[in-house]
This record gives sequence, C-alpha cells and structure tokens, in this order.
Amino acid sequence: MRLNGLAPGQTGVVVDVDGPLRRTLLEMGFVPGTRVRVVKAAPLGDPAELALRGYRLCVRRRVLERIRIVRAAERVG
Amino acid sequence: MTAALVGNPNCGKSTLFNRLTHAHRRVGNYPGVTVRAARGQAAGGMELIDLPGVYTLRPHSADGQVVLDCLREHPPDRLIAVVDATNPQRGLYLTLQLLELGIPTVLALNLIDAARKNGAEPDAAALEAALGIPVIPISAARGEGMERLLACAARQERARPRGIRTDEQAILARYARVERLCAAAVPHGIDRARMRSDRIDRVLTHRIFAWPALAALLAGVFWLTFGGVGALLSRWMQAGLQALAQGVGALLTRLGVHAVVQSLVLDGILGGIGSVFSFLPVILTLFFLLALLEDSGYLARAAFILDAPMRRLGLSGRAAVALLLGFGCSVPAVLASRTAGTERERRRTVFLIPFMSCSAKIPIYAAFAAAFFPGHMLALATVLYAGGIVLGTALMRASYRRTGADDGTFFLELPNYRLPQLKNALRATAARAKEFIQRAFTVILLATVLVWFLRTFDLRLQPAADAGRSLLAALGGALSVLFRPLGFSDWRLATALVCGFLAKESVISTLGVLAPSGLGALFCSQAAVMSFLCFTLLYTPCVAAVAAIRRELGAGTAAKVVAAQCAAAYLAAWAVYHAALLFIG
Repeated sequence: MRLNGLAPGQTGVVVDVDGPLRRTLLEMGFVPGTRVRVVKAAPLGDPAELALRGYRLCVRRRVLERIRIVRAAERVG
Repeated sequence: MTAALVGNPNCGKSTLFNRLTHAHRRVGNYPGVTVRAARGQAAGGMELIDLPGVYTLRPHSADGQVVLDCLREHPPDRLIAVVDATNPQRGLYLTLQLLELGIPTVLALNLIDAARKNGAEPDAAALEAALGIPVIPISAARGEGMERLLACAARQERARPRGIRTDEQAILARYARVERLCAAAVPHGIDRARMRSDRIDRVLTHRIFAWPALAALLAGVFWLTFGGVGALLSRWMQAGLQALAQGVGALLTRLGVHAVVQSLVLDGILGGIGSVFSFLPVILTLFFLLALLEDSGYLARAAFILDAPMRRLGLSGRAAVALLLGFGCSVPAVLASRTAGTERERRRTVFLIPFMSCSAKIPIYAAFAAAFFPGHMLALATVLYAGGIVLGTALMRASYRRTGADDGTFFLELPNYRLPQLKNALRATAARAKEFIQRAFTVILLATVLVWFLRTFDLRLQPAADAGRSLLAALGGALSVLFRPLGFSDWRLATALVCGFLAKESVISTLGVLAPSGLGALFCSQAAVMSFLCFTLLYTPCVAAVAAIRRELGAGTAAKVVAAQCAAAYLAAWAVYHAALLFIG
C-alpha cells in the first residue's frame, strides 16, 4: 500500500519510493526499512504530519502517494 | 582562522554562535553568494561564520546548494558540525556529508543537557571513535563546553578529502551508517520536549481550535505592532526626526547657506529620508515579534495549517509569513518570500504582497478619515485592508493553473516548541534594520532628491515661484488627465501619487504642502474620495519595495508587479467611483 493510505496514528515501514521526487525523498530519510508514523493531518486535510527518524515532517498528500509501505504494528514503549 | 558553523535548522546553531561571539558581529553576504551569513569573533581570535541551517548538502536543493557553494568556493579553515543531541539522526546524516568535503571538522553535540534529562545522552566517546573526529558535548544555552569546542576546533587538522557523493548508493549508505551509529551510541530515552510539543499541538493544530488560536496570535502581534510598542517607538522616532530637522535648519541658517541648498537638505534629503525612517519602528516591531514566533516553533505550525488554502492560490504555506510581513512593509516581506516555496510560488507570493496594505499607508487613511469620515477611522481601515486582501486573493485564485510539479518542494519540519531566545530575535531584527537602512540611503535618497528637484524648479530650471509652477506640478498636471475617469483630476492629487512612489507617506506630506487649506478642496464628491483611496491602496509599491523585488526576482518581474498593481488600482478605482456615484452621488 502507499503512505497516503495510513490513518492518523498508524505506522508503516517504507518499501520503496518512486516518481520524480525519489532522490529528494530518500535524502529526507524515506529510505527502505524506515518506520514512518502518521501523526495527524492538517485541519483542512493536507498536508500530513509524519514522524520518522526522530523528527516530524509535513508532507503533501500528493507526495505520500509515491511512497510504498507495508503496515507495521505500533512499537511498544 | 575561520570556522563555519553548519547544522540543521533548529539545532541551536544561532544560540551557539551568539554564545561564542561577543565582539564585532557582522551580518553580511557570504562572499560570492547572496546568502545571509553572520560573522563574528570568538574568544581566542577565531572568526566564526554562521551559515544558514540546512538538512542536506544536495545540489539542486535550494538551501543545500547555497551552503555547498559557500563551502566549496571559500572553504573555511575548520567546520563545526552542530548536531541536536536529543535528535541526532538527521544531524549525523549532514555530518557524514560534511566529512566528505575534506575540511577539518569537529562535531558539537548541542542541547546535551536536554538529552541528559531525556535519559538519552549520546556516548560522545563512541561517536568519536566511530566517526574519527572530535565529538564535544555542549549546551550553547548554558554555556557548557564552549572553551573545549573552540580548542578542539583550532587543534583539529586532519581531514580526508573525498568529494561529496550525490548518488543514491551514497544516500542509502549514509543512512545505514547513521543507524549503526545511533544504535551503538545513542540510547533510547523519553523526548520530553517532543511530548510537550505534542500536547501543545493538540490545541494549536487541532482541527477546530487551530483557527481561533492562529487568529488570536496574529491579532496579538498586530495589536502590539500598530497599537502598542510599535506605535510608541514610532512617536519617539517622529519626535527625534523633528528635533534633528530643527537643529539642522538652525545650523544652516546660522551658516548663511543659500536658500535653495537649505531646501535641498531640509525638505529634500531630511524630509524624504525622515518620512521613510518614521515607520521603521513599526516594521522592526512586527519583524521582531514574528522572529520570536519563528524561534518558538509556531510559525512552522502556521505554515502547516495554512498550506492547503495557500495552495489554492498557487502559493505555499510558508508564504503566509511573507504576507504577514507585508502588512508592516513590503520590503522585508519580499525578502521573506525567499523561503516561500518553488520559484513559481515565490513569484506569485511577491505579486500578492502589495495587496497587503503596508503600514506606510496608515497616515493616508488617518488623514482621509479625519477629513471625510470623522469617527469612522476603524471602519475605513477595515474596508481598505479587507478590500486589498480580497482582491489580491481573487486575482491569485483566478490566475492559478494547477500543475503537478508544485508539490515536490514542500517539506516542513515541525521542531519542538521552545521558549524563543530574545538574542536570536534581536539579532535577526538588527540585520533587517541594517538592510533596510542601506536601501533607504541609496535608492530612496536618490529618488528623494529627484522629487525635490522637480518640486523646487520650474520649467525654465529656475527656482519655482510657487509650487504650482514647478516641474512636478507640470508632471502632475499632465498625469491628472489620466485620473479624470476615476473622478479626481486635481493636479495636486496626481502629484501626490507620483510622490507616493517614493514612499507612501509622501502622499499625505505632499498634499499637506500643496493643499494647506485641507483635503476637502481637492475633491468634488465623496465618490471621488473613495476612488482615490482605492487607487492609493492598490497602486505601485514604493521604490524600496520595487528595488527589493528587482533584487530577488529580476527587473522583468519588478516591472510586471508595478504594471499589475497600477492596472488593478486603476480598474478597481474606476469601479469604486462609478458604483459610489450610483449609490451615494
């Protein structure tokens, strides 16, 4: 599935990134194997606040469609 | 010896720079590139350069390219990589890139006190062993580790030049290495600041409460700027300028200087510069308050909230700050638009900025309200401000053709909330003031003297007998024909509008000189008054703003902005005039 399919609070693990922004997204930390959690959406729905690698990043929905993930269970603790 | 500070935004780099440099801080352009870098001297004579915060040195990324060019064209003797100890992953990624540059580097692990409190203090020795460079835990806020940092930086000499790799393998390899480093040397703790920020964000980015919170904060900023502190400082500035003018006038009279030269100095130079400086306090107060909001971390949330509506106008959420600044003065607003997204988004932001009625127009509204709408100043101001915003927004909306390419560069980090550092905000404000004053003394001085010349001399290049015979009046008379369809054709109004290109307050000061009996004599109907106000609200930005646009986006864009504003002003004033005639007469 794609990252835009996650609801707030859900976590996924990056499988791969495609599209013209691939290099940019990789450099931002969306490297295969990275855990990404959707924290919330902005009040009007876009962009989304993501938690990855210890920081929070806001990304527009269109871009989330480019990131392939698998659902992951929430980490305990 | 020079040392450059490089690190992510929000890692406390500015605080570190402030802490290390006490004497001669200079803000200026980094040689060769138009980026704002601060330079200062640290204890022991090392010159420190504070480069803009950046996440990666990738070429073709706006910020990264700039810093990369700086470091390659004028390599400093040392690099101090500043990393946030509470959140080291991205900082370490950048550090790995910096190591590829081949400049002797030390790693400053900042916010070490916060990391300790989180129970997640990184093992500096382990990092040092793994990276091969000195790793110094510091707390810039507390002043911990400062001497050791400087000493290590001075001593460090070895570096392995390798060349920055930009291919995909390199990116993956770096992140893999970062993960290994963190697994070995960074314990898991509780990020208290993040938990606190999340609690605050439950309100400030709440689906419903975000909006009243935003409105309240902005209202507070504007009230303090225009009503409270800013207004007070403005009054002081006015008083000071008047005293200066009186003093200089007395001096010139005592020296027996020729009347024309006296006029040049007093009316021309001092008068013109003074009118610009008089609203410097308002701009700076606004800028200072916004700098505090930026430092606290809130402006990132504002951009997050506003990105969606801004997108419908073809702008980025970050444009919101630039537009806010536009209510103070277009000049810092245009400069702030530098970070407002793609080039297309930046250009569109700059086109929208003039619709945000700048503070220099307030004296105009005040005078007109007093003359024609007594007691209704607030209503008048509201109508004009709202009108500008609505019209500008509508034009942006209408001119926006959606393309898919816009989404790619909007990556906004939400840093932890923190108490804004006064020193950082003051430093940024001082930099802005310096820039503004420099511009005032060059462009505005020239334009002021030019207008003075047109006002003082007549068509035969002799001192004009009265204002009505000057070159400026002739110009105004010629232009006043254009304004007939808008309902106001008095040459003095056209002249005032020309002076308004110089600085918006000049409109009122010029009318004060040309029509001492009052504004009423200049208009034949209320409809004409409204049409004139509408025109004044919307027409070309002042010369300082146009100069700023030219520097940021080129002369072509600057010319287009001027043309667009004048066209919008003309059409809107025409519509207002005829509508007002119908309803009011």
